[in-house]
Amino acid sequence: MPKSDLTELAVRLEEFLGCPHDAAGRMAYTRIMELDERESYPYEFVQMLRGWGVPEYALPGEQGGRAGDVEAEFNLVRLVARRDPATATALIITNLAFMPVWIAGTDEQKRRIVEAVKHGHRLSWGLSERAYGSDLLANAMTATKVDGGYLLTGEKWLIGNATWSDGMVVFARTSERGGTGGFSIFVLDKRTAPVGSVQELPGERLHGLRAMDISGLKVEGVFVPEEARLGLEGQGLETALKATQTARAQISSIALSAVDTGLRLTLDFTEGRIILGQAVSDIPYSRRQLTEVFADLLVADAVSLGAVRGLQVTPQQVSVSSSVVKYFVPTLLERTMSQLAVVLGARFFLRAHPHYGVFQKMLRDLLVANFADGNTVVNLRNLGHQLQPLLATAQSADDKLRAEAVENAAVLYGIERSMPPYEPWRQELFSRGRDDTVLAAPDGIARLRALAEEAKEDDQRDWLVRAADTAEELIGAAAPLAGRCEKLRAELGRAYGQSAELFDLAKEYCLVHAAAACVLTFVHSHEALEEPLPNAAVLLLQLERLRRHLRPHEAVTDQAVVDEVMRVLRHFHHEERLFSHWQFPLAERVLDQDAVRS
Amino acid sequence: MRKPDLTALVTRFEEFLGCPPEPAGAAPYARVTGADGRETPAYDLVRVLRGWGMPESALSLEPSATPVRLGDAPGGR
Ligand SMILES: Cc1cc2nc3c(=O)[nH]c(=O)nc-3n(C[C@H](O)[C@H](O)[C@H](O)COP(=O)(O)OP(=O)(O)OC[C@H]3O[C@@H](n4cnc5c(N)ncnc54)[C@H](O)[C@@H]3O)c2cc1C
Repeated sequence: MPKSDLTELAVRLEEFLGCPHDAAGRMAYTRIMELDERESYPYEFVQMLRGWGVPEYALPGEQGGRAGDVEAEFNLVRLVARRDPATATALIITNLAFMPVWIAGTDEQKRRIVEAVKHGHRLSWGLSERAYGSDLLANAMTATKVDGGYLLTGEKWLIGNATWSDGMVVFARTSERGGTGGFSIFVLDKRTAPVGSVQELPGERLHGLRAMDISGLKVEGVFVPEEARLGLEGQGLETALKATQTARAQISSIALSAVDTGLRLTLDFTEGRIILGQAVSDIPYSRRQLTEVFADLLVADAVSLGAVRGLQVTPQQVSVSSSVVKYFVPTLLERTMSQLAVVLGARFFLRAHPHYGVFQKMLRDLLVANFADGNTVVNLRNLGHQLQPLLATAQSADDKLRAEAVENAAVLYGIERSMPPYEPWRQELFSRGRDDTVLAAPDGIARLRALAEEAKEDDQRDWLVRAADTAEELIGAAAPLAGRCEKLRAELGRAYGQSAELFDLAKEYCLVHAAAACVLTFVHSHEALEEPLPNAAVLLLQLERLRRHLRPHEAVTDQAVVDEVMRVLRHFHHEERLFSHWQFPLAERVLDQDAVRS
Repeated sequence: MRKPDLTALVTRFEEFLGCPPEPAGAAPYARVTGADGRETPAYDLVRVLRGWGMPESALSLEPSATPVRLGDAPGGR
């Protein structure tokens, strides 16, 4: 979808929902906080957003949905989540549960289920089991073949919308021996199952997303017809893993939005609060913290941009991009949010504060991105397994491969570029050493240097050169990483794959990927961005933030860079724009200044 | 206090309090999370600690008790 169309869609949703600080708005923080405190499911918001059509942007067009580009749904969900991550989660679960249907279902299955969803049918995604957590191959729910279908027996636990949904897409064992070909996926229709045959488990009380329905299902020999199976018997693991890749790329929306709201609230405070004769925003230390948070958000935004667009542009590589984003973004933003809490000060601890009370909810809610749909550790392991071929290709890629990567990167990170249609069945579970983000990074740096030469203002030129130097250093870390990987493998032999050191190397790889994503977004979206972006000072600070993971006490920026980033940040805050490269205009703010000042 | 004496004191205290996940203990998590959920101070736990003889100065039920100063840096609290 062209940027202008996506912006128009975002504006339409923002206008419909209104300012969340306006108690009379359609999705007001007062009501959101009330539901959170009471742990009451946000039916009213979910229904309203379904009425508006948000979920339809994640249902395939050929079978009656409205999905074109995945990033449309991703960004609509961000706008919902900046108000309430619980509603956003409740809303997207039907879509995530639909993914196995999209990947492995027949045209007839897709058509039937899209039709049902459009008429209000709700789905949940039953992968997890109490005893086995992330170990899918150990899952115990069984589907035993009988005439015309299967008998399903077992339990799924910690499932979003398990009680509230009309049906659950379940992952079940179809071969006693299990193994990679021993599982299949079924749509269990709770409404047509015999009364009492599907038992809903009690809802769990939660730390964050308190309004969510997180429960489970227990079944004992319930019949599911043959036509409820998605794909071939034994294809379940592959389908589930592909569905999970999509979910992993999408869930960073929750973390991005939580910090977006956190930063907006904190700026409301720091711009007006006077300490020792100056606004908190102008105290050099606080100012740096605020700009660093903004830079982190843009780093996470760039990594997410590549991962979400990657679902369409480079589906063969999503095993890398979805795991990078799923580990990196929640881990980074959890830290960012804690940093922000220190700037906001004591008010972040107040649950019922009329303006800042939302902060503590965001602080709790954002944590879901860390473990849902494959926790961060599982994603690091997935990257660890692919690290050697990834690093080898990064060193040895020939001109043809690099040229291909550069071409793909221009679409991955160019927000004006149109993408091929979403065809989730083209996703692969291993990328065979390809990560076009990292492969295209040297070209990105060369483009950055060319932009520096063209820059008219001295400071912009200087910042671009420094950004290119810093990026070169960060991306150059891939070469020694390859050597360390080799050495570790030689030292540890078979223990290499499970070693803690490999997880650390995978973390470092994520930094390389993230640095490349920042540079590539800058150079390929350069012309599509609106004032005050693109901005070389912002890019330099983004790269410094990444470099700090390796050198925590060394700066590559100075006060002038921070001041320039603060100017940009203030523009976003005053002009009410999403803190993102998309710069979506948000609903006009309706603030109670007494609440802001109190 | 010497290390062996402090260890003996702490051991006595731990034995008195019991294992926190055990609901029948003197200071079980169930009571702590219950008080947290109700947003009420865990007065009964404070009483238990006093009963054991925890130094009075470290426990304050009444607002009038001598306040403990947290951080004496000039201008800070
Ligand atoms: C709010 C919420 C919503 C959820 N929604 C859903 C849903 O809709 N559908 C669904 O199917 N599930 C859902 N879940 C379940 C959740 O996704 C699973 O519980 C999770 O993916 C399994 O991970 P676990 O943290 O339980 O860890 P386990 O797999 O039990 O692992 C425990 C710990 O061991 C470590 N570990 C695990 N694997 C490895 C490894 N390979 N290498 C090294 N260390 C490892 C990690 O530190 C991990 O945290 C939800 C859970 C919650 C709390």
